[in-house]
Amino acid sequence: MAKKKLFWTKRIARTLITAIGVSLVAFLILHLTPGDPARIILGPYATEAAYDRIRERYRLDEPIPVQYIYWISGVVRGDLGTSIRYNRPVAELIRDRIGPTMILMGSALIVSISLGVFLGILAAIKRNTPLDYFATFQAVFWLSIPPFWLGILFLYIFGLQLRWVPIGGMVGFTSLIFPALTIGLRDEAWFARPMRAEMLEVLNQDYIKAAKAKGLKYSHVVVKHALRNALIPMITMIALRLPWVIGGSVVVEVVFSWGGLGSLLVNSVLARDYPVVQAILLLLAILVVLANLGADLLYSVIDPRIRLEG
Amino acid sequence: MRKLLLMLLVLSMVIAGLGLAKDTVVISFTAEPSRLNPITFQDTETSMVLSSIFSPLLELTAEGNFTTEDAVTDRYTISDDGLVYTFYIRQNIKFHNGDPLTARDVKFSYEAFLDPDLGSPHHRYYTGIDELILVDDYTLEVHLKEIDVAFLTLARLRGFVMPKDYVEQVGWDQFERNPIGSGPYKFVRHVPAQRIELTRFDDYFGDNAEIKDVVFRFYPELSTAVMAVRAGEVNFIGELAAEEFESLKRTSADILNFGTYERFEDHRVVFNKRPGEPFADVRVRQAVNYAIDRHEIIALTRPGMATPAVGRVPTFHAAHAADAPAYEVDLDKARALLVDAGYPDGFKTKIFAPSNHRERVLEAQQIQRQLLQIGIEAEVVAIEWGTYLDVTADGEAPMFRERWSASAPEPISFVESWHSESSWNPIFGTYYNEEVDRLVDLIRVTINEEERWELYREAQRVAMEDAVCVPLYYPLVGEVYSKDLYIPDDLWNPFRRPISAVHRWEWR
Repeated sequence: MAKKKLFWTKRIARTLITAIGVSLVAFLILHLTPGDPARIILGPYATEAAYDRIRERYRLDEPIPVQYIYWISGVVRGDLGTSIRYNRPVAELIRDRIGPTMILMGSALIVSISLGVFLGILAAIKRNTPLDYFATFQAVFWLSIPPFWLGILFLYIFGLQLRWVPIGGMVGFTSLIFPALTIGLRDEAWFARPMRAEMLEVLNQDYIKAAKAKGLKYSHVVVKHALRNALIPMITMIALRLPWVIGGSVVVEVVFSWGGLGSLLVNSVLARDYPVVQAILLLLAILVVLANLGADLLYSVIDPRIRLEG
Repeated sequence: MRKLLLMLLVLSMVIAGLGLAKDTVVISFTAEPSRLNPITFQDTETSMVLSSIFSPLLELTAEGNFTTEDAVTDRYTISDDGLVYTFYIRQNIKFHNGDPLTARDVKFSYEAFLDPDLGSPHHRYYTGIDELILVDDYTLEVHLKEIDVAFLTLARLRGFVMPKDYVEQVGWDQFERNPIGSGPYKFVRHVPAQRIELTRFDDYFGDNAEIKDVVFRFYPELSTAVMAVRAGEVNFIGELAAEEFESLKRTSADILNFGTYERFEDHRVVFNKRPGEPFADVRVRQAVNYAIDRHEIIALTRPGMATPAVGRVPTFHAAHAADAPAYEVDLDKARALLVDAGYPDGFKTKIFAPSNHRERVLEAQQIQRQLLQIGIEAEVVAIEWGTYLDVTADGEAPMFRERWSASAPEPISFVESWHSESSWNPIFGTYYNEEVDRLVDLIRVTINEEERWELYREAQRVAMEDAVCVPLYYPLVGEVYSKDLYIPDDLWNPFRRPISAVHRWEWR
């Protein structure tokens, strides 16, 4: 029990350090990029006094380390600051946008995990048949298509030509289908191959042979005995894939006019809206770190033999 | 999970709410307006939304004359010495919250633009105001420090009349989240990242809007908006690129309407003329002018959608200087000038263009090829907008591909940046010519129009002798909209623009 406690303390400390590290790097990259928020907000023709007012209000005239300390101490107190571009609290902007992004990411993950696992199993048990080749082919296919282009193609075919879905925006469930597929299909490809490999390995184990020998139904053997064991490594795969899902959603949100964090992030970078960019990057970093933490936790739940070591 | 389902439910209810019947017109923007505040706005998209919510002090006719139709002013007078403008405000105007609009609100609006604490980027347009005198509830006198023929132009453009009582009661932050004006449409809601909704204001003092609801939807990716207009989900694309206009015209002529109009705008290449730069030498600037072929550039990015520029003021305006030096292509002359200037083998330089404007980058590349013919190796630097603003204003860009949209109807801002005292002078690479300074000063105080237009022409002639910049073209703007949408003819001109009067659009 004490060992377990130590493990979690260590993990949480590491998570915190990672989050702070990410916030520092994000902050530096952002502030070292040329471009003055005051000039972008007010345009090139405002008076110096007006520019100075903005610089002063957002403390842009202070040295970068001082700005960082101001910012991070605000974050610790739960104050993410005010958006320069929107003149609204950053927390409010994020609250408005986080829902759509979570829905999109969640749906994309449902698509990718269910399809990936299913096709992976299918390819494993039908090894070296046309079905297996098809599974491989489709995985390579989705991985090769840039999501930006795939999104436009989906909109063109299913939105413009067939009129099955609205073209961009968030107008009901049908709006969600193709953004989720654009992200999901690519990630499905990412999951299907390892799933097949894991499944093959497990199917060759002695206990599977034993189960078969006992006369259990093959489908029962696959689902009850093989799948559970093959899924364990997949949990890490999924957790490791999460940052990519988020990254992919930025492009997809723009193509589909999906009003989530991704499109807010892009606009805010272009407008040098430092407080917003910093907050979103920090949030994403925390999400990724938490996902990894969650994977570790799930690991030990699914397979109690796995030892928790810092 | 339950939260997720709930959100999906909310999303699907939004469809029902959006029901795009014929009483709604949908306009697409690629950028979302940041703040709906007349004092602080800077982007075109915000001005498009605000122009439906607020009423101007004065309106313009299709010919570019001032009119009081659809304007807050009933009539106005200018004193003989040109220093006092008296505005008589209409007495039947109501704000969207029911408050009457009076001269107090007009005065308040001017003061807001001038208030240093509000930090308006439009502040400098109003600094010529000496005093604002409230004569009575419906009469306002504006006293100027000195004669300024451009005063009405600037006073009108940013003259969004704002409600004093409301702003004082709720504060500016609240005001920009729920703006209240006296225009034909009132603000309903702004769904972040999605849309802004307006609905008809039934107590509007002018003719009520034909179409009941206006929705501005945001499509960060223009290709998506183009598909949406073809599918009928969008009825009008705001800020369409010339390239997309041409391609839509080829592919969708049967399902869409197309219209064009000239803009009060010119495109040019600006030189950094600071001492020590190669472009400080007039001969080098002239050589570049002789080497650049504007016809080729227009053919590349806007075939049939632009007129070659001579000087700065567009061709349709009386102040256009048709006889200013045009520098038609002459490579021998260009090379000779470079030899004279001490660059027989040319030199290396850079031309900057903002990367979010694809056509400007393409044009910069074309210019690069053209300059190579006279030995100038210009590296094209396409940089993102925020960085571009920084680099050009700081004098780090030897050449940059600019676009200038002037406030109508007075073309003063085309020539004003040449004045050595103008705050725009350093932004556009600095320039000093005593004669140009004198002419620009004269323009400001010459009330007679014919004389003033001649001064504009003279200023452009002198400055173009100096090859102060490379005029490229005056653009024609193309708009694409639904087949059954009717936009009145008198809006298709540089002074009105279709998007500025959505309340006059109709479904046919």
